[in-house]
Amino acid sequence: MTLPPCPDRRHTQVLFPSSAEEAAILASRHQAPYLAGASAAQLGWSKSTGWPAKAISLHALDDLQGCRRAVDHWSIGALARLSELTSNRALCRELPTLHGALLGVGAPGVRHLATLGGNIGFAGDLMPILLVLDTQVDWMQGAGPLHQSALSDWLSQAPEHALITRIRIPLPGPGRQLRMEKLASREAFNPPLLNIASSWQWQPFAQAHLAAGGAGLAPRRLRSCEQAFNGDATLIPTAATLLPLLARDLPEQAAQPLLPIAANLLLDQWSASRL
Amino acid sequence: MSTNDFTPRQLNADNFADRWQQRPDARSKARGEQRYPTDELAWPGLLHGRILRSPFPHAQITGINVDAARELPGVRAVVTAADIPGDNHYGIVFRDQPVFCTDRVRYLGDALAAVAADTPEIAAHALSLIEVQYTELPVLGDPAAALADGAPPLHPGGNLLDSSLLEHGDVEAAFKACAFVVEGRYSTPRQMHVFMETEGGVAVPDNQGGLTFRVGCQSGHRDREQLASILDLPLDKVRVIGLATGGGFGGKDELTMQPAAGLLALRTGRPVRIHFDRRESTIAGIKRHPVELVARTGCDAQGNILAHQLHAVLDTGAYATLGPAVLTNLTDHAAAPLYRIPNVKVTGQLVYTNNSVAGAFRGFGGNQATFAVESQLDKLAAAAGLHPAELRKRNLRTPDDPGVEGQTQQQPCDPRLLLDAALASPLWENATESDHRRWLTGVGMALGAQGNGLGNGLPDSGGARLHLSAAGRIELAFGFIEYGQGVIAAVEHLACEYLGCAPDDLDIRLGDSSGPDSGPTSASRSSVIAVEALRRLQPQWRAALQDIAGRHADDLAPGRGGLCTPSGDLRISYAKLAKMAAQRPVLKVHFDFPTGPDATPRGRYLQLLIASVARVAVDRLTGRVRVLQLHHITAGGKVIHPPSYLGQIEGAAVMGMGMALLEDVPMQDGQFLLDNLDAYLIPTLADAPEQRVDVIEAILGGESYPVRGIGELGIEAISPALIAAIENATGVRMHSLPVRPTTLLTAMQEQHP
Repeated sequence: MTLPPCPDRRHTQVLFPSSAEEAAILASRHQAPYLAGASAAQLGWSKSTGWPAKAISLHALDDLQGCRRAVDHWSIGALARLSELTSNRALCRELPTLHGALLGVGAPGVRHLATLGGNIGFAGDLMPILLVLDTQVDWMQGAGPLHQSALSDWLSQAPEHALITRIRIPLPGPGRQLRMEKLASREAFNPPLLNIASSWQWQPFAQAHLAAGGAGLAPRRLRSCEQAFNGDATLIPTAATLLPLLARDLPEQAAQPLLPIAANLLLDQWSASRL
Repeated sequence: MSTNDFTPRQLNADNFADRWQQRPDARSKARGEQRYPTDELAWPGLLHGRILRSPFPHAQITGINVDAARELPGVRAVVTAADIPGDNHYGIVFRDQPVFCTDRVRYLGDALAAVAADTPEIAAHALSLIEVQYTELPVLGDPAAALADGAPPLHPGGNLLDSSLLEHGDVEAAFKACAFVVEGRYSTPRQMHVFMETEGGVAVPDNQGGLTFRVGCQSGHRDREQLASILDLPLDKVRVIGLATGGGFGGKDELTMQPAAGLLALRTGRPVRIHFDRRESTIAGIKRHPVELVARTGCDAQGNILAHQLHAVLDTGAYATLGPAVLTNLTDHAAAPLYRIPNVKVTGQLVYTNNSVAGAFRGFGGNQATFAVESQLDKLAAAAGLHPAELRKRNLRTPDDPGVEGQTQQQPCDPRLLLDAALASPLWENATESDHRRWLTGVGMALGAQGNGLGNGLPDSGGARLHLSAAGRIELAFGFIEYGQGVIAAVEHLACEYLGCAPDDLDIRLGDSSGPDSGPTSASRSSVIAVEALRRLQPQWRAALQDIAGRHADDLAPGRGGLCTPSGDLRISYAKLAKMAAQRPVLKVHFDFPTGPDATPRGRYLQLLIASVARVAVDRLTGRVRVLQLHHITAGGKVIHPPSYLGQIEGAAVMGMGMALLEDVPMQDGQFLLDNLDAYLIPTLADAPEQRVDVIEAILGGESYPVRGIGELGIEAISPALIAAIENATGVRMHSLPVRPTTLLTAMQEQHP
């Protein structure tokens, strides 16, 4: 039966590549999205954007699975489910702030479906904490070679139809403190209004990695704020000193009520890291 | 009646052990065996219906072509207004809403056509093939635009659907005599019901020209009348069975999918199921009225309130549904019915716009008004240098005072009892603790009143049928719908109390329009109707059974299992009585809802009271509010089924929390800025605070109506209590709901830069 174009899922042809390389080639050739957990994709497609003609299923790609500890980093397959990561005791022990952030994504049912690669692909809740951890992303595009990029670069300009294969999270050095807080309207199953993460190192010299994300706020490092902290362990920040820096880092929020909240949360995280 | 009868008692399993029993439907629900409209999938030949809705909030329809949709394989029928045999309009108060639009669409939920197909996907596909030509018209995005000079009228009578005026005394003169006057502008959100089960059901042809609707609804009999009119069928050819439904809260009071499903079922001769997905429910479903309120309240130097004035503007959206009745109830509540105020003027405007249709919702306009009134009292107390409770105490009505329109009302008790109990709440201990870092705590309270029944002299009757079946079962039928509120538990307990039987003797039948008409399942009226019906049936039932038993039955009475001796020994079982009967009894009662002795009823006669105390924590870094504890004191008559009572009060309070802190459907130029629960956030279980409910069961001189419906009571005073608690914590009083963290933090920073 030939059906005219229609925005419903029956019209999406799902392709099943047998390797990551084939998946990347198919996605480029057909300008098709990837299907992993599809927890966010389905919601978007069922709304106004419509269903794609073709989609690339990643379910059978074992090399995109898994979560393992390497010498100096964690290597996590893009298809690792968030619930798989929350139940990984070693990961929880070594990166408890990331563990907390993972538990704050959606609800258990969502976390059973959603993947880490998908969270990056959709610039989800985990971005600020992954950004301050200096996360690296392995990816391939079309028939091209495997690339590795800083997550911050990936987020600022994600290559079209590129396939994330692995996520590499460096282990924080000794003395580095991680903080993350999600401001949301309720206690659970919470789309964030604002997500602030920070990583602080005070010895031998001050170094801060700061990041923000949230509703209508593309996740990013807060470079202006970082510059103010870096190299100056004696700096005692205030909301007044942070606000203009934040306005530079988050220009779309300048004069918006979220900016003072971001300043407050950063100050709180700075203060906690000094204790 | 002793004073002790009016002492609030904590509602828990220990204090109410004798009545703390399982709901009759608990087991089937827990085991997943309860069948809902969503489960109506096993009908042979079932077709799946979908409704085409307007993509424009306001437009002229210049053409519609369904040919391509009809030709799609798998499509069994496509219907438009041209296919409606009867009246193409419906609406509980005014029939102003078209089943299918013909010349004009007035909001995004307006229906233009419907399709029945073999699968839901084919039906959805067919909708995309229907071609409609529109000419867009100016959008009236809010009441101000709709009432502006030159605004295009959305209906023949213009855009002011209704207005209200409640006035006594001379407010202008009284304000001049006031020592303190406070003013406030308040706004409340467009809240969604967010029932777990969206609107839906199935229409099943009976092959004799009639239809049975098995749906989620709140009034089978009223729906039957409207559907018969639309489908041009005799009443006896339309049967509406309101199935156990996954939530209503007023949102299923009006017709939803029934007209389209009925038309498609008649056209195809096959059962047709329509079930809204969450997006369709969001766009086409009824909402709580967003209300803008401007209030002015004044008192003399001693704190006696002399004048109160309030103007409310309600955005009722594109169609009337129950909007006029909501306006009436809001007006009543806006007149500060708990307080003795000599000069009052309340005006209201109910305005058509191109926004989502607003109508019935738990609280029915009362809680929006109470938010403004109780907030005004807090502000006035602050201006007068009085404790908020003291100002209230000086101005509370007594049970002997007439209502705000001079009408007779039956108050359950003196409202001072609730005020005193609220002041004695343990929540006040260490009310404003602070950890000196992030979280500020505060406690606040508010009072509320709520009436039962449709009120204001609206036709409001109820009835029941009691029958002894051939198998010796006691069949008790009401027209109410069980949609989670627990009416089935109340009916079971009341039946056992009044008829003396055991739960196992009973077959309770609810929600069938072929049975007795008990009136709508709304306005917190079902429990009152149930008691009144059983009170009337009780002597008839006893006489009928004794009549069957014949001689020597005078000392026997209906009891557990059958007729029993005064000591409770079973003498003649119901099964035996059924066999003995030459004609088994079928008893019917029908009566008007109690409206009191006034020749012209105004407001609601049977009243309930609540005091809510809230303890909150406010994050001084983000403005985030957490509700830590709620303590309610209720005077709502006898507690029939304690777990259901508790569930109603606590559930309504959490719903009120949603309205106060989270929920809103923002619209811009008639467009929905959200359409799903990914962006419309309601409180989760994790947000539900610890709650305590204390009840005053006794009714002052009111043994004739000892039971009141409490379905709406718990939401009445939550918003102002939370706002008072937030002010107690932060020093900032908020006037606009919901209170967003960003808004609150901004206000806090403005107050303490």
